[in-house]
Amino acid sequence: MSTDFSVEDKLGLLENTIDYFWTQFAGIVVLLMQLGFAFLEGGCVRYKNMQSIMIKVYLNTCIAVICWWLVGYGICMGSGQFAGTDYYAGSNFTGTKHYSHWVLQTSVGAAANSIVSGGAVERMSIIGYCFLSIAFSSFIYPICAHWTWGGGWLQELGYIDLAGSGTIHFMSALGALVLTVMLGARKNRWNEKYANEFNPSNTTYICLSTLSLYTCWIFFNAGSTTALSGTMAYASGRATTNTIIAGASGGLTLMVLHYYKNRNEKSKFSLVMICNGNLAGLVAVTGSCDGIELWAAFVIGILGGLTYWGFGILIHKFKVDDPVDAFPIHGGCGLIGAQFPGWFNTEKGILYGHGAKQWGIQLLGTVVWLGWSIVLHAIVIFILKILGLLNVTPEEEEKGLDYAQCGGGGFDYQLLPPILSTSGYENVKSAINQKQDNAPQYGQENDQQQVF
Amino acid sequence: MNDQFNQAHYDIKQEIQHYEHDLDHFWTTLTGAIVLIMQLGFAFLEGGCVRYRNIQSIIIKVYANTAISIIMMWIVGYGLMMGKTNDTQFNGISGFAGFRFKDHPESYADFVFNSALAAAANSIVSGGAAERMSIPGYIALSTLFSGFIYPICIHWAFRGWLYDMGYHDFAGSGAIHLTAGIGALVVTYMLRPRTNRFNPEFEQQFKPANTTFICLACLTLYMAWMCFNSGSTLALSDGSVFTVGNSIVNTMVGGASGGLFVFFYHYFTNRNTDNRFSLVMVCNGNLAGLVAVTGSNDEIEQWAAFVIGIIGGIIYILMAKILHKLHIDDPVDAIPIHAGCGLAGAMCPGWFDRRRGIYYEQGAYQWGVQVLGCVCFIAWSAAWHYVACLILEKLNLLRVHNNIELQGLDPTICGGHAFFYESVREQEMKEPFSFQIDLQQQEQAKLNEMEIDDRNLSIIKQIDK
Repeated sequence: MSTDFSVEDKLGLLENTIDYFWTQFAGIVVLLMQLGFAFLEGGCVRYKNMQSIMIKVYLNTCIAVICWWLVGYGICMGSGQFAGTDYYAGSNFTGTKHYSHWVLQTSVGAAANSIVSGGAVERMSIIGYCFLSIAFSSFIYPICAHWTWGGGWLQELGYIDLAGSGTIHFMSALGALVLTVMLGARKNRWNEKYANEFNPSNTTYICLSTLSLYTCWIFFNAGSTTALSGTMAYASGRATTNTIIAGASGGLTLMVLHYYKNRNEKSKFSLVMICNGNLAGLVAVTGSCDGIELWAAFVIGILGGLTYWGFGILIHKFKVDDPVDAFPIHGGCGLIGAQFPGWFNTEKGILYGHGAKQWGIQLLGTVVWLGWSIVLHAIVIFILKILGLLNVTPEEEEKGLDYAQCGGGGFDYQLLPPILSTSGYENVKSAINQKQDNAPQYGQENDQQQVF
Repeated sequence: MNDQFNQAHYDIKQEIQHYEHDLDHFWTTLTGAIVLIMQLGFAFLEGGCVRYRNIQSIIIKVYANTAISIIMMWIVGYGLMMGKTNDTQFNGISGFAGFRFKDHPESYADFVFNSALAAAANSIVSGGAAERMSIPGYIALSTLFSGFIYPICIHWAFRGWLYDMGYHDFAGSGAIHLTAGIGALVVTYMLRPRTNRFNPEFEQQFKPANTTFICLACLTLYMAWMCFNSGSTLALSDGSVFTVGNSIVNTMVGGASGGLFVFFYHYFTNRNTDNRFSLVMVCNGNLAGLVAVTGSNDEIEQWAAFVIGIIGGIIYILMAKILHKLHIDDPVDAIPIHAGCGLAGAMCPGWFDRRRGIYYEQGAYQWGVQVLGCVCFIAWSAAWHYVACLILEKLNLLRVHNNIELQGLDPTICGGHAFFYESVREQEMKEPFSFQIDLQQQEQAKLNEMEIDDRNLSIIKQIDK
């Protein structure tokens, strides 16, 4: 244990170590959100399309990682007002904060990518979706990240968005909205006769996903402080607490709303509603969670729930088919979540007597995301449409993408032979003690064997 | 005065060093805890790959081997693995049953991390044992693996004679994945294929029961693998945090490139069929890339991680084809992924390592040591697994009776099926969806038309007569 070192150097290194550890560890846990998105969208779609949407989510994870390595991180973190000019393909990473920041930014970017996939379910060509994913992860989203966190012009103006209510959720959800509108509604979606078909196929998958998203969201939000040393541990703690509270109040709001509306029907308690409400609260608090008080988080969760409810009704009224409620949750709650730093932030918000300047900057940012996302997504999707890479054929959509393209359903239990008995132990009690098993030796495999 | 200042300065430095140790132990313990969730990944990977009537049995095996690994690691494994090395550097000789731990408290964190890794290695072997191995027999094999076969390999690679020769295997591509994968290979060979597996008439039966389970598993494993790899630094202080960051970046890139490569290979070779997009392929490709990059991720550039992921994908595809041709039945593809890509992953430090690799003109010494290490792991693991399987076969504890296998292990010895889908079938038959009613009406209309045509035809025939 040699004590031959300089105290200042060591302390500096220790501080950096703690900060970089926090950032990359948060990035690791945020990668698990891909599981949440896969099963959220898998549970919302019809069974005959479940594998296809899980494929899309898995692909966009891998594509986001590769694109962020090659160009995304460079655009996001390099210096410059519009886009970065260095750190491409992992250059100049050695011995700096950039390893750990890359991990967090990439995982967050993969999550953003998955939000867009919500618009692509059930009727988009997988190859077309890959191209959209590449465009999103290489350009559309990294530019936004650069403006907000990488030293871009919006950040210099003072735009506050801790983990990306506006930058990530609102922007990506607009992409999902444009995608879902340009894809067109699923066949027979607005036909009264077929209303029952479009229920979520597996609400337990939705619950699995939302409960794991809830935990990972803590790292999504608190990790975005990217520091624990100094007093940042308190900021991270505040972010965590506010995240948990807003998620809880969002979930309860939706449960109560849904119950009140459906109290005389047999669907008065809805697992899907409490899950989506949870997500709505989490999205709404994402932008402001490190700088607000706990009561504000509670209120934000409720406002998020109400916004989700309202946008859900609007979407339905305009006959826009959003199978996984991507726009109401991420777009609607992202929209208001981007405003909340202007209202509730203890150091800059309206409620604390600092005037509306911060809110003005937040509104500016919101308008920027609106324009940027809609225009760019429309261009890319229009190009895909011209190339014939947007919709699958109507026959394939009717049959189900799993059966038409993915080799069969995810778990085709209905094709198995009926279960003869629940306990076969009686049948085999004598066989268990026999010395000789008569399974075929190598070379004799094709002998006829009875199959139950 | 000067003395007091010097003493205070010395005390501060001591304090700082204590904080550094705290940080290191915290990191090792945390990553060890997260690596334990890989057991969930393995349980659902293998549960999703086997047939419906064997799901509970394979999850029982994975859960049992988690528990067995930890107990055996505590009693003998950790001592053999990480204990003070003996004269021939063959195995460790201290730290059994936690006796040394009180005096060497850093061992606690080390134990957590290594026993989680041992559980993961044990689960790889269970992949070869799926669907037809007797559960008591598997438990015996598992005990031998985590108590003896595996700790010795780890000792050679990280403490013993192989380590002294310069063998570099950051998170254990060779020492963990290759060892366990060869074990799976020997076990699956000695078990013989599942009945009717290579009979063309019954080929359709052997599809994964639930591909969404496989997706769940692989996305969980992808996340936990970051901790599996980066936790192998066992330290955060003194600049290790940069190695950790490098490791995570390389692991993410390697996994992503593996997944994309295998997925698009499958797409291009099945372009005009209705099976051109495969969830199982992107999942397995992801794992293949992760295993391949496991050995070298601390000291390679990201482009090398990208290439290694693709190498892993290529080896996965080739080995799966070879095994199928040789009629070796690997229900969960454990052998191509862990043995094949583990072997490749153990070679990569010799090629791509910044400080030791051929690509950076350090000569082929490192590669030579890696090859030596791999040969030793293969020989050791294969020999012991072969002996163990022979003994189990004599005791009738290797393969279950054919009747049990054909009905499925779940209903015969595991108390029933994992979940009952019968109610779903009944529901579908009772209340068909509206589009099904429509289809029924359309079919009925067609049948009516055909009837009318037939009648008309018979009338015409009568008139003709």
